[in-house]
Amino acid sequence: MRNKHIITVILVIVAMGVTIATNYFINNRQLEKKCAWIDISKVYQEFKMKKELEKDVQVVESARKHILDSLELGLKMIANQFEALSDKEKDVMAQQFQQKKQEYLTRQQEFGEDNEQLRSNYNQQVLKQINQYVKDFALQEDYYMVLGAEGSGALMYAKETSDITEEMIKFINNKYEGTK
Amino acid sequence: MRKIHLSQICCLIYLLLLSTACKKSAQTNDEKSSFLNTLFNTGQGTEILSPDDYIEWCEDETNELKKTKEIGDFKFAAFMTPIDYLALKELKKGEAADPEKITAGKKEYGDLTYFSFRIENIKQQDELLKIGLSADNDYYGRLEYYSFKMQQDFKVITGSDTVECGLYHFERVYGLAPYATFVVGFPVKNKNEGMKLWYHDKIFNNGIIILDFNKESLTHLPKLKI
Repeated sequence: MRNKHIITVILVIVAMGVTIATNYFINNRQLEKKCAWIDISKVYQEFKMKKELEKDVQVVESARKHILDSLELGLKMIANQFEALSDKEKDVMAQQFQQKKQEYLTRQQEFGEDNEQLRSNYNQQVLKQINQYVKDFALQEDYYMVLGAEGSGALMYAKETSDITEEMIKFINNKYEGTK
Repeated sequence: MRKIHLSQICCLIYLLLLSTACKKSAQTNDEKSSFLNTLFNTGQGTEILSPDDYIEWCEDETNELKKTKEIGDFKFAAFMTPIDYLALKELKKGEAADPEKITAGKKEYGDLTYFSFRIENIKQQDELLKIGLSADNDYYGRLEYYSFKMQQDFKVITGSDTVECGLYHFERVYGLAPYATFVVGFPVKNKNEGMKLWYHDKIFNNGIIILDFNKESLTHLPKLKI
């Protein structure tokens, strides 16, 4: 009977030890989880909305390039015909050439500015959503800080164990698609 | 006897420690219970409801016909409105749901899938169209976009199909509310696959907004009893 009690006490002490150790590890993991870092460039590149918008930009830029190519071809054709013309016809053609050249240059400048504006807008949209989803992730997972590593030296060193880039990419893409 | 007491005390301390450890996983358990609720509530969809209960059911956010997303200072909300709901809403306040009227109302809405889509600035109470304007002309540009051009920036994605917006209406509030509401309709053929409402916000530069209406919430809609 006495031995039985001793065994019970030992078993309870062992169980207590296991529980304390488990608690210690859980708390340690939680502390580690409070601060983490992500590779901004990787998150940006892997964000599904960025990929979708990139395709959109390419379609628009390609359509604009097609228009410019047509205008350029028109100019080349006028230039090719030029030598074979009489002096009178050359004057008329020179005027036409100047007009078309002006139109080409104006369009080229407009398209260049519009392409730049479009890229800048889309970039802003991508960053806005990434910022929001990183905030959502931090609140949901109870992080007090998520640092962004971009290779500029702002984050000089961080342990690889606190790298949550992959987890973040998954979360951000789920959030974007509305599935989380 | 003393040893029995000691072992009992040890057991008590052990149970206390165990309970603190369990607290940590409480959040995960909540998620599990919500999954179980979904699992056991699957029969709800076959419910037959009276007009008032039907409206209440559709507007109840737990039934997942309403979805929201916040990006920066903006909140985007979509309410997938079943045709029965729209026909009921056409009735005057206090008017009894006449089956003929309901049927006629449903006929008018046709075979489209409707969403009421709302954009709201959660930080400012100004008219949505006036938020962040850099020039007076921009207001009219926005008004023109919302009145006629926004339709092309809406889509519905079902499985591998992309459906263009077939019906569009901008509800102007003339500065009376800090949000803007749009009614959009899509000729979706397979409604049982789940739908994603897709909108590209180019005015406030919030990017592509996707609101997911999952298969479960769409296939378990109640029936209207009239």
